[in-house]
Amino acid sequence: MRRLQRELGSIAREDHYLPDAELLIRGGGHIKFGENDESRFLGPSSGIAITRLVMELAKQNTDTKSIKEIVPETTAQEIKHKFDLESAKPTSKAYPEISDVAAPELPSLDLIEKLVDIYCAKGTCQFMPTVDPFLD
Amino acid sequence: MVIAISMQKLATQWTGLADSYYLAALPYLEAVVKKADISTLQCYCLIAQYSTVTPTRTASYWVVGLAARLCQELGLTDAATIKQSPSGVRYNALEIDMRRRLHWIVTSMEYGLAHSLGRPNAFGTTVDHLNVDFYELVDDRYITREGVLPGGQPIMKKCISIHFFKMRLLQAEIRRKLYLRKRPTPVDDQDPWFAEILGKVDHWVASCPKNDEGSGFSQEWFFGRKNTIIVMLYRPSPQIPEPSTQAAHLCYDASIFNIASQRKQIATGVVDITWIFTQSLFMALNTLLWSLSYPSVRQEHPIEEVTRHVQLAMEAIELSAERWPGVHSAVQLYQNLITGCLKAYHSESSFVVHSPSNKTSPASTQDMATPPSLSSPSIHSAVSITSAPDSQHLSVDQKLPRSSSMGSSPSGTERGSSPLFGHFVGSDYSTTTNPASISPMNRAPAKRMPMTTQQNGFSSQPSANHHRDNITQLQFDPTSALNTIPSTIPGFQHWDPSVTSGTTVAPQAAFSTPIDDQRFWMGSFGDEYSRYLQQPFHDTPLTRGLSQQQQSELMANLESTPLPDVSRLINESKTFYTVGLP
Repeated sequence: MRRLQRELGSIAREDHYLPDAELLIRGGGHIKFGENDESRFLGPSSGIAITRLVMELAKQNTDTKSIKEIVPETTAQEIKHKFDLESAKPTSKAYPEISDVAAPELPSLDLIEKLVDIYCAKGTCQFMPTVDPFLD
Repeated sequence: MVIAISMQKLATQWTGLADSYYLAALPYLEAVVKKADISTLQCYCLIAQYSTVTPTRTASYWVVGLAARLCQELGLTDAATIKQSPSGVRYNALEIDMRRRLHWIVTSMEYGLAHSLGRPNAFGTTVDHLNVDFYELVDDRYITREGVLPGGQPIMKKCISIHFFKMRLLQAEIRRKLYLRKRPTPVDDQDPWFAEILGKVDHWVASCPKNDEGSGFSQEWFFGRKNTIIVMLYRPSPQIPEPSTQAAHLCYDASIFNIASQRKQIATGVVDITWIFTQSLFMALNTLLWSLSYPSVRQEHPIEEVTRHVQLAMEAIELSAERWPGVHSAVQLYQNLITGCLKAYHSESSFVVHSPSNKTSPASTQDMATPPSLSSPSIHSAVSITSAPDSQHLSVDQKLPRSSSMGSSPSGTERGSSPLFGHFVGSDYSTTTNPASISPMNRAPAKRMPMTTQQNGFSSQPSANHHRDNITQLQFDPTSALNTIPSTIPGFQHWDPSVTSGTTVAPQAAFSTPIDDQRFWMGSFGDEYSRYLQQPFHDTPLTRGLSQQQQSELMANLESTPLPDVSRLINESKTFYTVGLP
């Protein structure tokens, strides 16, 4: 009887899913952000593996039968709520971050010079696609 | 474009205005692209640079890819062709210098994307093939058509940029060693190669430009980059999936330094909050949390200490969300993840994920009644959650044979179209139609990335034994068009034929129909978020744009707003770089 119980225990453990580091970390992933979105591939050096491992760690320590318990329904709703809030933000004081219209004309020469200076000072430490004389 | 980029470096209220200049630039693009010359490359670089500082509608991955192709066409990618045209005409000194610059900028951008997305670089060659010299270090006014004038001293921003490009080379070398195919060595971090590469990294840091002249690319910044390289070296990688305890400690130390450093950078405003910056924050936080899997790390760093670092990271992430709105939703996810991870302190066990010593799977393939790609919730099925909530519940400790990863059902497809091509199937792909047919054993938690074809480019493959079982159990009907194609091919352990590269878009379409590519960089947590919560990752949609009136208002405001004074940064620097140059 005890022997059978031991066997049962070992079988149960065997069946218990164990994440395999080799597979978890080597595998890339297809990411989608929306149902109509195309899939985007992310490979290992993107750090996708470590995200999976972090989630694995969180799950192992929550001792729960369901992922949903880790993120309770209320929290999921909070997230959705935050998202809705973002979409509903009034535009009167906060200007949108993108533009629906193209700028009709260049700024004043004075402003252009200042902006170009800012670009040269701060935008060319990693990228310098233009030679300064070009900007004269 | 320069105006647009520059405006993005100002306060966030001018972001929309900057975007209006970006839009104003786009109509010129077609004509520029047609020229297919150096000026085209310059424009591509500017567009790509713009997309680093703000969420844009440009498919920047494609733009940089095009730039890489054009570099090859123009002969910029090899020392043998960079100095003269195909017809043998030698370029003048000014042209050669610009060609070198563009080569390095595009290479750096392309390598950067390859790194962040984990994709091959578009040049298709390794770092071994890079043989183009760097450009001149002196100020531009010393570079003339006839040659470089004497008397010019190296200027800081050129030194900084070249030093940054060298970092790309180090990253590429590491990627090649640890993130590609499995090699016989290194098997752990005691391999001599680690000492070798660390030596190169240390030398690189030690030789960095010491005076950033207010650009933000200071010694501390370079040290921070060293830390990201340390993390890249010592975190779980395809070559070494189970890092040592010492490696975990190194990652912890590197991450907490970077979190503090990046938080400070936000506070002082010395660097732009690019998407790369934000992604590094997430990486640092992830790494910190991951290192807690190791009991030794928990012993050395009490929970109170860790909590402080984590809170600092969350602060920094929240601040980044001002520039990158999609980050907001991730913050919530992290609150819960962190709570879960910190519970590790209740135990002295190790939570390190191991590779099983015995690779053959214990369970037979008969156990799989349904291909797991059908049974696992996916983003598609997440949409149908409301109709069958019960079937979507996931269990953490579901009994699931490890072999269930990619096996196909002995009974063939149940859904008609191939379940192994999950992500191509539209509404057909649903777990709600026949829950009864889904064996509980296959209800893999969605986060079991290796288990689903849909969500894994290169899904985990079962053991070799299982490969054979897999193939022999396929039901092949020669008269049907709906046979499943095996998801595994013996000998190609990590290749999944159901993977495609996604929708390709013709270059013309990429410009005339703006593609929303702004979120590609958020993949690593956006993906997990979706699985975790069984719902799409809600990005804040940028649906509202500036109106004409708002554009005019903002423009008028900007004209009268004092801008940061950068005069001391752009005057020819008297400080020059004297450390030995290559």
